[in-house]
Amino acid sequence: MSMIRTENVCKNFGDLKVLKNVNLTVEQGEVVVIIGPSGAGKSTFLRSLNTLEKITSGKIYIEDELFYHRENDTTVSKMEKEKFANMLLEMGMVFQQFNLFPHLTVLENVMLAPVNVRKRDKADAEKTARELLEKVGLSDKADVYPSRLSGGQQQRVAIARALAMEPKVMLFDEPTSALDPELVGEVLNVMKDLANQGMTMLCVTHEMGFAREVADKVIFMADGQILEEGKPEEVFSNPKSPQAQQFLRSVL
Amino acid sequence: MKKKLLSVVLAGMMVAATLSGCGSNTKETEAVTEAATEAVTEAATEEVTEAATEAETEEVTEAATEAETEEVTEAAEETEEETEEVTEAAEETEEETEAVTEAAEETEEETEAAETEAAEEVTDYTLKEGVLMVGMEIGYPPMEYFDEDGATPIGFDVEVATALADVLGLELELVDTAWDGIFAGVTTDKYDCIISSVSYTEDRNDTYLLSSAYVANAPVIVVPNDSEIADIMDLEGMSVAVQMETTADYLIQEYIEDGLDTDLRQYEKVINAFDEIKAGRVDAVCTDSVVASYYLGDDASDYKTVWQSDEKEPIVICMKQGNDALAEMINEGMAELFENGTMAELAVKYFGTEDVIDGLAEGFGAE
Amino acid sequence: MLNRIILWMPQLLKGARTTIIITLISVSIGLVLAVFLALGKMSKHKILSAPCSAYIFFFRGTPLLMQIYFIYFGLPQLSPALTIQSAFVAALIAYVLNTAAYLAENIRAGIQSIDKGQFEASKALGLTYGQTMRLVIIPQTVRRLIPPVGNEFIMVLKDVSLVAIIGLTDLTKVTRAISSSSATALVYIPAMILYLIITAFFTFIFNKLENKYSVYQ
Repeated sequence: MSMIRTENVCKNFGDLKVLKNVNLTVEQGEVVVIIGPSGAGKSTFLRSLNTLEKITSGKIYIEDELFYHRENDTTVSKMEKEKFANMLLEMGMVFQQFNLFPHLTVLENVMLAPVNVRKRDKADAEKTARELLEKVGLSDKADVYPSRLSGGQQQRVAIARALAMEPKVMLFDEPTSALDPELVGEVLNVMKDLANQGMTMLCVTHEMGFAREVADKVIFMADGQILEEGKPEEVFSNPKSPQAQQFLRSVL
Repeated sequence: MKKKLLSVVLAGMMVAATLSGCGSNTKETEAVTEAATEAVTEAATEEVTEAATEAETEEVTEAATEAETEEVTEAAEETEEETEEVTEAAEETEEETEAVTEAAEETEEETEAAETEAAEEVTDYTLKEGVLMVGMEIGYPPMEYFDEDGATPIGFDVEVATALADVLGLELELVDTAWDGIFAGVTTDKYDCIISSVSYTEDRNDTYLLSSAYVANAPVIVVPNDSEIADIMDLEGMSVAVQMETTADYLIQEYIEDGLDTDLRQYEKVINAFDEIKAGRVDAVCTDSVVASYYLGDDASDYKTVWQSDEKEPIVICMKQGNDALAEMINEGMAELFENGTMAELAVKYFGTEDVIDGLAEGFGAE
Repeated sequence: MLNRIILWMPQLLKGARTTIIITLISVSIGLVLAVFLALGKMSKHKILSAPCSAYIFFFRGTPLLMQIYFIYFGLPQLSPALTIQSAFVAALIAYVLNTAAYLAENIRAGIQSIDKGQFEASKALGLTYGQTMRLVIIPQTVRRLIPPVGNEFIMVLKDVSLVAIIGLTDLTKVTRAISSSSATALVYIPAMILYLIITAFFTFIFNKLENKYSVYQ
C-alpha cells in the first residue's frame, strides 16, 4: 500500500502553470527528497498534499484511498468529512519559517494540538510532549518562549510539535533554508533519526548531503514537472535531463 | 568840489535805485535800474572826465551835468514809481492767493470735522462701524429660530432686531450663539447686544445693562391634556424638562431648593424639552409663555398650559454693563418702533394680540 | 480661589463618575461586539461580511453626536415603540455601537497583521477555524491591540461630553453649568486637571497591560 499517490496533479495561478501533471508515489516508510531550482513548484506540490494549496485538477490518494479529486478548480469528489479531517491529521508539516506559536511556551506549543484536536488528556499530552522534546534534545527548554530560542532550536520544537500528533507522514518544506549554517546540522540530525525510525517523509530541501545519506528516492522537479526520479546515486551521478544536469552542476 | 558832489549824488542815486529795486523781484525793474545806473554812470564819468581837463567848460559842464542829473533823477524816480506799482500788483496777487488757500483749508477742515463727527457718531456705540451685531440663540421658536431651509433666521426677535437696526441706520448682523455662552459673549465684545428672549432678572440686571422690556413673558408649565398636574407644586414626584440656563431652569431649581422633590431634566435646546414630553419621558415642561404659545399652536389638542408664574419676567435687550451710549441709541430706536406701530404689528403677527406689549412703550420714552 | 474649587469638587466628581462609568461600559461591551464584527467582516460568506461591513461603514461614517441625538430623539419620532426611556441607556447604546465599529477595524488590522504561517501551522496541526482564532490568533492580537484600544478608551472618555445633548450630566456639562452660573471660566482648571488624572490613570493601566503581554516577545 502506498502512503501517498498523486495522479496528474496540475496547479494554475491564473495563466501561470505551476504544476503540470505531477505523478508521484510515496511508499510507506519511504524517505523522498524533492530537489530543483526555485519556482519549480516543489513547495506548491508539497502543500497541496495537506490542502494548504488547492490544486486545479488531479487526484490525490492517501493509503490507496481517494483523498480528493479536483477538475477545473472545483472539487469533484473527496473523502467523507470526518475521514477527510482525520486524514489531514495523518500528515504533519514542518515549515521553513518554523511558525511556532510565540505566545505559548515550547511545551504548550507541543501540547496544543493533541489536547484540542486529538482531545488528549492534559497530563498524557504533557508526558508525550516531554518525551518528544527529549528526543529532539530540548527537554531543558520546555518552559521557554520561542523568541528566546535559536533558529535551529525552534525548528526542532516545530518537529516535536508536528510529531506530537502522531502522523503517518511528515512533510518538510525546506526545513533548514532559513537557518544559519552552523544550526542546520542539529535539525538534519533529528530528521535523520526520524527516518531511521521508519517515518514516511517527504522533504523539499537543498541539502544534498542529507538527500544522499538518507533519501530512498530523489525527485528532481523543474518547471512544474518531475524530470528525474530515482535512487540518490542515480540522480546525482547520472541525471538524464539537461535541466537536472545544469542544476546539479551548480549545486554539487 | 563839484566833482565830489557829483560822485556823491551818483552814488546816492545808485543806492536809491538799488534800494527801490530791492522791494520787487521783477527783473525788469532791476534791468531798468541797472540800465539807468549804467547810463548815468557812463554819462557822468564822461562828462566829469571832460570837465576835469577843461577848466573853461567846467561851469558849462556843471550846468549840463546838473541838468542831466536832474533828468536822470527824474527818470530814476519814474522807474522807482513803476517798480512800486509792479510790487504792489505782485503783493495784491499774493494776498489773493493766500485768501484762496485759506478758503480751501477751511473747507478741508469742515469736511474732516464732518467726517470725524459722522464716524464718531457710529463707532461711538457699535463694535463694528455701521453694523449692529446681535447675539441670538437661534433655536427658540417663535422668538428666534431657523426657517425650514435650516438657514434663514425668522421669529419675533429676528424681526424686532431687523426693524431696530433699520431705524438706527445700521446693518444687522446676527451672531448665532449657544445659550450657555451667550452672556459671556456680550461681555467679551463678541456682539453689541443680545436680543434673544432674555428675561429680566435682578441678577442679570446687576451684571449687565438691560433695556426696558419690549415683550411681556412669564414661565409657564405645559403638560399633556390628560395630565393631572394643575400647579407647579403638583410636580412633586414627577419629572419636568427645561432648557438649561433659562429662567425656567432657575425657577425649578429654586423650588427644588425650597423642598419640591421633582426630577429636573435640562436640555440644550427648548425643542428637546418638548421632544421629551411628546415621547412620554417627562411629565411636564417649564418654559417661557411665548414659547409655550408657539408649541401649543401646533399641538393645541394634545397639551395645555396649567400654571403661570406670578412673577412676570419681561423680555429685555441685554448689553454690556456701562455701554450707555449704545443703550441710549437702542432706547431711541425702540421708542420709534413702538411709536410707528411696528411693535404692535409684530405682536399681533406672532402672538395674535397686542396684550404682550401693553404698556411697555412708556419704558422707552415713547407715547 | 482654592475655596471655590473645594466648593465645586463634589459636583465635578459626580460628573466625572458618570463620565468614567459610561466610558468603561461602552469600551468593554464595544470591544466584545467588535471582535464579532471584525471576524464577520473578514468572513468569506457574503451573508456575514456584507452586513458587518455596512455596519462599520455607517457608524464610522456619521458623527457620534448625530448618532446619540438620533437614537434618543429621532427614533421616537419614527415610531413611539422605539422610544428609549432612559437617557443613560440610550447613551450606552450609542457609545457601544460607535466604539464597536472603530475597534472592529483595529481588531481586523491586528488579525491580518498576524503572519500567515500561524494560520498554516494551525491548519496543519488540525485546529478548526474557531480553535485557531481562539487559541492562536486572538491571543497574539491582544498585545497588538492594547495601544489602539487604549487610544479608543481615552477618546471615548472625552467624547462622553456629548451626552449633554440628551440631558445627562457628565464632567463637561457640570463644568459648563458651574461656569455659567458663577460667571467664571476658572472652573475649567480643576475640570481639566480631573480629566488629566483620569487619563493618566488609565494610560498607566494600559501600559502595565502592554508590558505584561510582551513577556514572550
